[in-house]
Amino acid sequence: MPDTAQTRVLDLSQNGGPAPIVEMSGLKISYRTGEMSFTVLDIDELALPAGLSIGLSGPSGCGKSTLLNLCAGLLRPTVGSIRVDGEELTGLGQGALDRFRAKKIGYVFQGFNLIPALSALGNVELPMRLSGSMPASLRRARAQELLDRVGLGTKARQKPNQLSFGQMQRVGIARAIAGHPRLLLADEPTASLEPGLGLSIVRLLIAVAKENSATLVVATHDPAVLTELDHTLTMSAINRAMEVSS
Amino acid sequence: MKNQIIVFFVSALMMGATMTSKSSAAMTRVKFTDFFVGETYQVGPGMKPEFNLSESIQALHGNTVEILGFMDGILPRDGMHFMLIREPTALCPFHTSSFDWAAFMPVFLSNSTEYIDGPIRIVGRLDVGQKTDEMGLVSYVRIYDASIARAQ
Amino acid sequence: MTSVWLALSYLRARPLLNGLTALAVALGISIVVATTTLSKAARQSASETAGGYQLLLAAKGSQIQAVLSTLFFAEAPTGNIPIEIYEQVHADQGVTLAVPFNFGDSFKSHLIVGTTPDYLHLIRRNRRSSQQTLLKGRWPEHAFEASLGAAVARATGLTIGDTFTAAHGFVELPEDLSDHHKAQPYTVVGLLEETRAPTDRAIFTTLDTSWRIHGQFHDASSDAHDHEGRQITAVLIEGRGYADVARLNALMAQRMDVQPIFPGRTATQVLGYLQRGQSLVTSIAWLAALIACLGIMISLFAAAVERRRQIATLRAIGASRATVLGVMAIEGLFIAGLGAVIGVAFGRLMAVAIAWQLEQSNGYLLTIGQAGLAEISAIAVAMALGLLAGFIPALLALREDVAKGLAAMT
Repeated sequence: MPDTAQTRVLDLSQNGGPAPIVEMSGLKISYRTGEMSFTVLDIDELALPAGLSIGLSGPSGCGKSTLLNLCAGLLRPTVGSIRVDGEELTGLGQGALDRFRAKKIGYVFQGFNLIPALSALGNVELPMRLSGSMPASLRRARAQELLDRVGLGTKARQKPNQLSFGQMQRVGIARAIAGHPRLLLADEPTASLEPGLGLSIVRLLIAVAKENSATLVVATHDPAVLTELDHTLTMSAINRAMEVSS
Repeated sequence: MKNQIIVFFVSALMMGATMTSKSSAAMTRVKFTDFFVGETYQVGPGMKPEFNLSESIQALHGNTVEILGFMDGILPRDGMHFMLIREPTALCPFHTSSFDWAAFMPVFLSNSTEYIDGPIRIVGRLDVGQKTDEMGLVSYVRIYDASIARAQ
Repeated sequence: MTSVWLALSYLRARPLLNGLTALAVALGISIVVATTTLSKAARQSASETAGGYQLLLAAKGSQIQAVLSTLFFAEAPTGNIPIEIYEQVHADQGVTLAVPFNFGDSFKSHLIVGTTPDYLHLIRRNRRSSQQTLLKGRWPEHAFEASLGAAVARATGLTIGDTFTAAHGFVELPEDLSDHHKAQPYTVVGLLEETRAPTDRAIFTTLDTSWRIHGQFHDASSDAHDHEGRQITAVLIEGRGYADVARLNALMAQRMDVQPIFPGRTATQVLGYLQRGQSLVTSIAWLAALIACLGIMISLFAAAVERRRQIATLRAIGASRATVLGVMAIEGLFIAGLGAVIGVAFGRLMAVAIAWQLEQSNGYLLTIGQAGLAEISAIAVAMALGLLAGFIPALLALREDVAKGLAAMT
């Protein structure tokens, strides 16, 4: 179990630490089903410090994925404000949000979500192609370099279906970091892997994020993973919607 | 990217539309019966009846007109002119002993044609006045620089 | 550009399925192209054979039969007309060319046509040039001399100096029955150059050859044929101008023993009948092409369902809606375009093969023209349909929420 000092709401304005990469205030996400309206996420104030690795813990259904999708600009809050790297997401249009995502966000998925039609190298190149502006030779060099970094330098030409689960997630990490994101989001990155393998993957994830000076936010229910991270936030402590249900 | 696709799509559709649509510029439509006043039927060789060009047709001299009719079967090898006839008769009206002067008109085309079966629409410059035309015939009304299309 | 790269990667990932879908498009387009190419060739051939200030004078009967028989050597003639008609029009000031035709015999199903050297002028005019020598050897001067069309020479292997015996009528009789003309063989005196026209599959001789045959044939009744009067099958004339052709037409229309025919008009009528059949085939072929494009759409719909999570992933790592839309539209475009290009090539190949087959079996010559606007527009239409076939499934796929798509099983 992580110690109590780590299990708290991070309020950096009091600590005077690094500037926050994510700031949320008065934020709510509600769904309406017929007459009923229910809130899945209700965050009063939350700031995540830049440059650290932060764990989001809690049982499934507590809003971890919702919080990550919110940070990625894939979901819009029903009310409230969210700023990522100083940019107010609620004010951005669809196109600007797409560009924001391509430029600032890296995403690691539980199910790896590699594009099966592309080789490992192609998958890593993909975000760099989507954000544009990088010459083809540099792009390819960086993709190869990242594959080397995650230990798959010799597998660049392999398609995802020729790789093991662990290898696939390594490609997923290389892909997520390829576009030099400010914020690296990982949604249960080890849940599909053997426990021992999971731990090595999460260590790689942390190392790669540090090397590329990206803030890492990992949603996980695995205590072993949480111990590896700088800080841990329990969803029940930040999500007031949880208090109602529990 | 999205815009490029839409532009491609719209232009493809427009291309299809222009292929089927017809240019409907302002022009006068004339009929064979508009040409003359007086009796126009010749009953025998050398028995030309008294008729005059109508004022309305003379007023259209030099204008672009449209007229419907049929193609006579006699075509030159270059396909650049032919006789437009009022009715799809098997025999051309010319040089039979009796015929109607208001039933045929020489047409000079701007592009070569082959024989076209069935009704046709001619659009071109109307030329009015009695003369021996380029087909070597005496005629009163002709059309020059004509284009030809199948009429529905 | 990313769309193109992704689309090509996706296309490469399913080569068999995409190949088969493109093949379906290719088959539809190939039939469209083959029918339009062949009918264009038939039209071209007809207009080259029956053009100019021409008037055909033939015995009363079917005008189509008369034209097919005289100009295309493809039918039995309507009957005979008196030689005086030829003599009359030949002497007429307004006639620039009068070519008589006399049919009656054949050799190995090649028609033997009795005519005059004026037929050479007719070929030259039909070819719209005059520089060719057209003939190796010489044109027949005496009865039972023959010049062979290029296809006849090729098929029979006969050359100048060879002799052959003809069969009476248009059907080759069995050896036992065909003894009528054994006594008088033809001698080959000339070989015509290839004209890619009906000329190639006929044998030409003098006008009086068939009169001699008939004389010989009716030998028992001595010179009875002289009383019947010498006859020919038809005369094709070209007039100096409109007025002369119109005058001759009116003049001949009054006679009981001959009818004037405008070959261009009759050929157009025949083509009109063909066209009705052709447009039916073409519509069915277009329908097949349309169904093939529907196949592209079905395949891409399936792909959109299969790629539900992939599409959400692409969106999550920064792909815009336009990029995702572009990927599937380009896939549709590419499959349809590839199919259409193969279809055009295959269709033209089919047309050439059919034309060759026609030439081999019937000696009917069609010259396949250059590919043109019809082929380009067939490809363009197929590609537009392909684009649409990718667009619609992509639009529907993009309506789904990205967060939901990420949680999807596939």
